[in-house]
Order: sequence, then C-alpha cells, then structure tokens
Amino acid sequence: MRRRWVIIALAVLAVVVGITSNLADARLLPYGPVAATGAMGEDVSAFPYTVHVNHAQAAASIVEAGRFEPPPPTTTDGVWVVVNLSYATEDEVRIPGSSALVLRAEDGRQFPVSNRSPARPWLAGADIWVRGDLAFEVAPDTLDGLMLVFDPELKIYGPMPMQYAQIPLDLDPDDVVEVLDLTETETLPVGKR
Amino acid sequence: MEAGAITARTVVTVLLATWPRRLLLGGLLLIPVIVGALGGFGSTEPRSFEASAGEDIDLGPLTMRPLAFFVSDETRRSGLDYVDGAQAWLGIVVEVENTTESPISLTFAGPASDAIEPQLPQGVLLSTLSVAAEAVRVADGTSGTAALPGVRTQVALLWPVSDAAAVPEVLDAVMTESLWMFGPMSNEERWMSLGDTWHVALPRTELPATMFEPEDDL
Amino acid sequence: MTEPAARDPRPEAEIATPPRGVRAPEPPAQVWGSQPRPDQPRRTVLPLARVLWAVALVIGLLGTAWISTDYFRTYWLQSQPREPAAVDANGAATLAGITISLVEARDLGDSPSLGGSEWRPPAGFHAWRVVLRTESTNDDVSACEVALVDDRGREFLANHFVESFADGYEWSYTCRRLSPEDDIGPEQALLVLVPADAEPRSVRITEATLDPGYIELEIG
Repeated sequence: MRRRWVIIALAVLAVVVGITSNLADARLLPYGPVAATGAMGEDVSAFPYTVHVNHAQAAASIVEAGRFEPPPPTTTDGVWVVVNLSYATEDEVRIPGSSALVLRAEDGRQFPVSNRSPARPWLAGADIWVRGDLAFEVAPDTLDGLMLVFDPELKIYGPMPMQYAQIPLDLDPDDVVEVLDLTETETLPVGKR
Repeated sequence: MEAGAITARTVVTVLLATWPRRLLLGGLLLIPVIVGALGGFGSTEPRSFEASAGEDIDLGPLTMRPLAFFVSDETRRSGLDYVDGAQAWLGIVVEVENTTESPISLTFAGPASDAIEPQLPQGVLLSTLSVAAEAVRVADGTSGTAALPGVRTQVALLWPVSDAAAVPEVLDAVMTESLWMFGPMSNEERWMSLGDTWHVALPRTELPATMFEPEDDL
Repeated sequence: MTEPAARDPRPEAEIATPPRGVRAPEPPAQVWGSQPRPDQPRRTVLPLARVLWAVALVIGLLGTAWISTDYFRTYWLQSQPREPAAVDANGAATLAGITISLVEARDLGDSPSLGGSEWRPPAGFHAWRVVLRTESTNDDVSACEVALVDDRGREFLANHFVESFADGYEWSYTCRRLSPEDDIGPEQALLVLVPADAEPRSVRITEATLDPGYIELEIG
C-alpha cells in the first residue's frame, strides 16, 4: 500500500515540476531580447549598436533629400513621422537590417521604415557616428505614445538574450507640419550626435 | 535491485493491475482512432457569400473594399516587360485596411495571399501565385505594397495577363477570409486563407490618371 | 482496492541475491497480471534486456546532446576567431592564391593633402593611408575588405566614410588576378577613417568566400 502511494506522489511531483519549469521558462527567463528604455537626446545601447534620437516630427508630406531638383512631396494615407537619429557600433562597420528599426504604438501596432521614402538605415562604424533621417508612415491615432524600437536582431553570443533599445518619441499629436524635407546622412565629428 | 524501487515494470503493473484500469487505458489509446473514424477534428465548412462592389469585407487580417477593375499596359511598363508573354496589367482597385498589429505585404504570400483573386480563363493570368504582382497607391501612383496597421489606403493590385481581350466586361473575383491557425508544416501559428469566401462582380473602369506612365522615347 | 497482481510488483525481491559479479537473471515481463516464475534457471550471460536498455540510454543521450548543441556546432564555433594565414620572413602572407604584404600604414593626421580632393576627416578623426602589395592568381574573388584593427579590437574598414575619388587611392581593394586591361599597379593605396585616439596595430584582409581564412599583417 505504502509503495503505491509513493508512486502516486512521485507521478504528481513529476507533473508539478514539469508545469513549474514550463511556467518559469515561458514567463521568467529572458530568452528573448531585453529592452533598454532610453529617452530622446540620450545614448541608448542596443549591442553592438549605440543609438541616439535627436528629434522626431510628424508631417503630412515629406520631400526626398539630396536631389538636384527637389521632387514633389510624398503624401500618405496616415501620418509621416520623421525621426532624426544617429548611431555607431562598438566593434566594426555594420548596417542594421531592414526590420531592425520600427515605430511601435502604445497598443502594439508596428510601423516599419516606409518603403515609399528613399531613406533606409545606413552604415555606421566602430565609434563612427552617422546621423540621418528615417521616415515612417503611421496611423494618425498612434502619434501619442509612439516609440522607436531598435532591435539589431543579431545572435552574436548564440541563443542568449540580446538587448534592444526603445525610445519614446514624445510627439505632440496636434503638431503635424505640412511638408518636411529629409536630410542626407552625415558622418559626425567625435562627440557629436 | 533495492526493495521498494519504482521501475518501469512496477508502474506498468500498477496501471494494468485491474480490469477497470485496463479498460480505461485502452479507451484512452482508442480515442484518436475513434475521432479519426468519425471524421477527425474538422473545422466547420467555410461558407460562401455574394458581395457587391463597394462593400467592406472583413477578411480577418485585412478589411478590403473592392471597387472596380481595369486592363492597361500604360502603367508599370518595365515590370510588364519583365513578365514573359505579358500583354497588359489587370488592375483591381480596392480600399484596404490592415487590422492586425504588423504590416502586411499585398504582393507576397502571407495574410493577403488569397485576399482577392480575379477569375479568368486558364492561362490568361500569368502569375503562379494568387497574390498580386504589384500594388500601386491610386492617389499618387507610388508603391502601395505595404498595408500598414490602421492606415486605410486605396490601391490598385496588378496581375500580368497574356490577353487583354480575354478579360470580360464584368470581372468575377473571389475573396477568401484568412484564419489565424496552427500550420503543422511550419510548426507555428499563421494566417491561412481557409475561411469564408465572397464572390464579387467588378465593373470595368479606366486606368487611374495618377498611374499613367508615358512611353519612353527611345 | 486489492488486486492480486499489485500484491508484489517486484518479483526480483524474491530471488536470492546472486554472488558478486554474477548478474541476476531478468525475470519475465509481468503483464496482464501473470505471476512471476521463480524457478527460472540462472544465466551468467548479460541479459539482452539490460544490453538493450544500455543501448537505448546511450542513443538517447547522444541524440539529446546532438540536438542541444546544434547552435554551438553551426554558429558559435564558426564565429570564433580563427588563426590568420602565416606571415613569412618578408612580411607577406598567402591565402587562396593571394599573396599580400604591407608596404605602408601611416597616419595622415586630420588634414591630409589628397590630390584632386578637398576632403577632410570629421573633427576628432584622422585619415590613414594603407598601401598593400598584392600578387594574386585567384580568379574567384574580386574585391577584398581591408580594415585597420586597433589595440581595443575595433575594426576600421577602409574606403568607408572617406573620399572615394582622391588621386592615387583606390575606392576598392582588388585582390583577384589582374589582367593587362586593369588600370591597377601591384601596389594599391587605400584611405581609412580612424578616431584620433585609436592606435591601429594591424591590417586585416578578409573576403566572405575565403572565410574562415584571413590575412593579418602587423604594422611595423
């Protein structure tokens, strides 16, 4: 009789241990990326990058940079958000992937760098900061609480948690300019962002 | 072996010790067989509806409002040259809104794969996938391939066709709802166009002026 | 809740302990309530069931180890630093038919006088001039990447963030076999942007298809 109870107790224990370890696995262990929340005007680490958002502005239309004859403004069915930012790496020349930089709304909606603007993420070097504009199209009701998320999505150290940066943009939903000119990318002097 | 140790044999012995236990275990093993014999865990049959042009249709990840269609070779000329045997674009003008949290491509397989499919005689449609080959924003003729969350846009979805004359005056199109389901092949949950379908008859229209591309003078 | 089969689920206990070194015989599997046969003859050979258990255990452990080290085997090992190609007495190293030696690696300072260009490095940066002598019999590659590596392990890639059209400098480092039509001499000069506080120690030459091999030349 006693032996049977031991067996039952062990079976129950096995199930409880399994459920507990699954719960810890899913809820507690940071297998996924780990957020580093920063602010505009601060260096925020998203290893191997460090990113710095200078300013962000909402606009109804944007004008492409660096053309001899400026093209007509590009409009949108949402709102343009142009983020002026710079970043550098800690080790070597790298370029963020196309999905590394997104704007995330408070309700979780995500907006990638718009493919209707020619601005794309650019190359940066080890402690060589390069600044430029990225244009995003977002739904108008998301301007309040919009956040830039920079996730390099690199698995440098294997399946380990890697840091990503998230930076609230502090946009004023009522401040939407009519036309915004994009600036060209620029390699910055030491100390400049 | 030490007395009182639990071995696989003792566990099997306990589980199979009495007839009620044996019947219960046997019954558990038979459940998949019984369910399989009764037709398996099938989902309910997708329903089919008639819809009219200009009606908002909820396709799951997208809300789409089909408006009209056109046939033209005066837009996206270089893209048309790229397709072997293509004579013209078949364009379906729709209003589309992404109701998910992530962007959806209107020209890649995925949530929009079977959002709207023109019904044409065999061989007229020249794309292997049901999804459109190009998507152009009607307002200004720029790229409209990305449907962004909560941003309603009017786009022309373009498919290359081999014979412009083979497209009827009223075009039938089928729109298929996508369901968020577990895909055994991909081993993950994703949108699959297995839901209800809507049949819609689209009136013919002209190529939107914003999309007109003059011929290169060479 | 009493049933005859559960009365003694461990028939081994009834068998006298065998002498040391002699395996106890494996009793027959007891299923569907059948009674054990205590009069089974003893055997001194290793019972087949034990062997199968051991084999299954080893296979299971090996399989688990193989699956759980997948990332380690496929990515991590390959991402580890490799040994560069050997450098001979003349300071030249050869990799896949490409022989490279370092002619010059010199700090041009913050205001280099470049022919045909007014370009200046951004404040806080220096331009470096790297000259490589190349002899190549390799037709599969076209350009190689050249980087200055500093004492902190930072890599500064040549031809990025610098003027592309300075007289006497190449905008890309050609490491394939040169043909008579090529307007490139045996020595190629490259520009590198380096922070003023960096102390470059070596020149590293890589090419994606030659991974994991690479060439590293110390700055004298």
